[in-house]
Amino acid sequence: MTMLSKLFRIEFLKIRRSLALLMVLVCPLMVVVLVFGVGLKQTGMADFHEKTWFAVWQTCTALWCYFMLPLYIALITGLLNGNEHKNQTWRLMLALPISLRQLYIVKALMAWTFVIAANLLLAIYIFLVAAVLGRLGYPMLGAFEYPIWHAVLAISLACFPILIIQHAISWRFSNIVFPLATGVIATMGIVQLGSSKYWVYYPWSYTLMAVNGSAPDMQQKALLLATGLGAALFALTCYWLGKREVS
Amino acid sequence: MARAVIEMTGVSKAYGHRNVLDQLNLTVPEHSLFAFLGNNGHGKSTTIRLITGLLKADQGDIRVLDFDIKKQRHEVLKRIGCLIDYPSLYPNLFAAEFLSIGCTIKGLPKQEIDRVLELVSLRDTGKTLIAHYSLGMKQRLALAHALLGKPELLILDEPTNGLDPEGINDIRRLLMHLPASANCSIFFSSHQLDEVEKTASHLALLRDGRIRFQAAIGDLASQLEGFLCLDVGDANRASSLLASLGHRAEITGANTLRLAGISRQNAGLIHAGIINAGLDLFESTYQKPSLEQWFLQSTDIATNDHAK
Repeated sequence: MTMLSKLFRIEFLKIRRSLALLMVLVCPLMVVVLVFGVGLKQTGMADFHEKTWFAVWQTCTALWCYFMLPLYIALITGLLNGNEHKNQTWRLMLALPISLRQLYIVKALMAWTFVIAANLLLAIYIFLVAAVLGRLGYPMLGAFEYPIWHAVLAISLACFPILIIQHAISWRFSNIVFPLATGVIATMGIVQLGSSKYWVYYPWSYTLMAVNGSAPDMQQKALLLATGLGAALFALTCYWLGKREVS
Repeated sequence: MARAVIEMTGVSKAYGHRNVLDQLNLTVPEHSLFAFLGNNGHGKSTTIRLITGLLKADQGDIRVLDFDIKKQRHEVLKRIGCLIDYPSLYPNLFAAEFLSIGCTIKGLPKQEIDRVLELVSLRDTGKTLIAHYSLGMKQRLALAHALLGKPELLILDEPTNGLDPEGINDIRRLLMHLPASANCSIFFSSHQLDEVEKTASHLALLRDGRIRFQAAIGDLASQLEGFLCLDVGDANRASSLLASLGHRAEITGANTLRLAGISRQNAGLIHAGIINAGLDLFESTYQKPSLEQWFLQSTDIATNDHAK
């Protein structure tokens, strides 16, 4: 077993019985409950046709992308790194035969795993609610035709730059206010900048554009930008933060 | 001469413009229980972090178990166990889960967890989360983590800090027993001087980033000069007599005197001088200074040197 896979297992162990596990279940659920709650209140059973289902799926992914996901990323990276800051366990870990860089990489991958899990759960929750509504007699035409797996993949890739930014901040600062404040402030800008021509300069808008961009080339552009910027930020922060001393 | 498990030569470290360690030289012999003494803020923790590779020295060489810590950090960390500062633990885990972290990274079998839990008497904690442990239990668990894989060298930063007397006694017994039973050397920093006196085989005194004194405890004891307390018929007459013999005595009562910096041989000569002068000598007590008195004296001297 390589050291990275050992560390990955250890990171999973460390978050047992912690808030991080609860958040992965709760955050996507909140979005689904909110969208279906509003949708069912506004639309009667008879009006639930193909376009309504598509709109429900799209609203779920959009709300997830421009509101809950950036906050969830800030929270999850904050919790994973905050675990070490709060318990002063950096020294414990780094007095073992591992490098700072390995730990940084594994924590980033761990946070990404949590984000992918939350993206998948979002899709599963929508499926489940749609299935329950079908049982209750709602028309099911077009209920499962939204390209959700494509969306899950696109969101998971497009969120990588902001995940690295949040991870680096959470790693660097012991006070959880820094990563959370960054997440909240950046989330507030998504709607304004995401709908302007400047969205390319704003990594927080990439997930929304990758899924709900007005044209397919815009979606592709968002994915390309996210992958390139994400990889560059990861390499840069890995080099810079991996050199720091642990005092 | 015993092999050195830690060898620091000309090590300097600064934080910004503040020099914390200045040309520090330190040698820790194998199988020793080495106490590292010094006041707060004088570089003890920095030294320990340099030895474990958490910090990088600005200058000088550090060899641990014959490996260069700069170039072979992982080789060193595979062979040593560390307890650095406050017991850093994950409160949401059980003891066995916590220990499996070190076990997995060092590639040790799971039986190792039971062995170290037994060593620190935490075998029965079972399904109690670390969050519910007392400070003493946490300290013992952190020590158990350091003991994983039978390390050749244990590095402990204030291992008894914050413990109650019973906890201190437990740790002390464990540490004293380890060099012989587990064939390891122990390097520990401490403020508990009475504990150092009871446990350590060697010590070093750090002051202002430099080692001021380094020796085996036995050598220190033979170098220390003691106090002679005398109960005499007339303290003033005895004091004058001793002054004429070249000894400065402090009068502590109508019939009592105290002489500092006296060796055992000199004590005999002083007794003879008083009796030969026809003065009464009722009682004489020779006292060696405690490590605490020595430490306070040494750090005081060092402070005065520094002030000059």
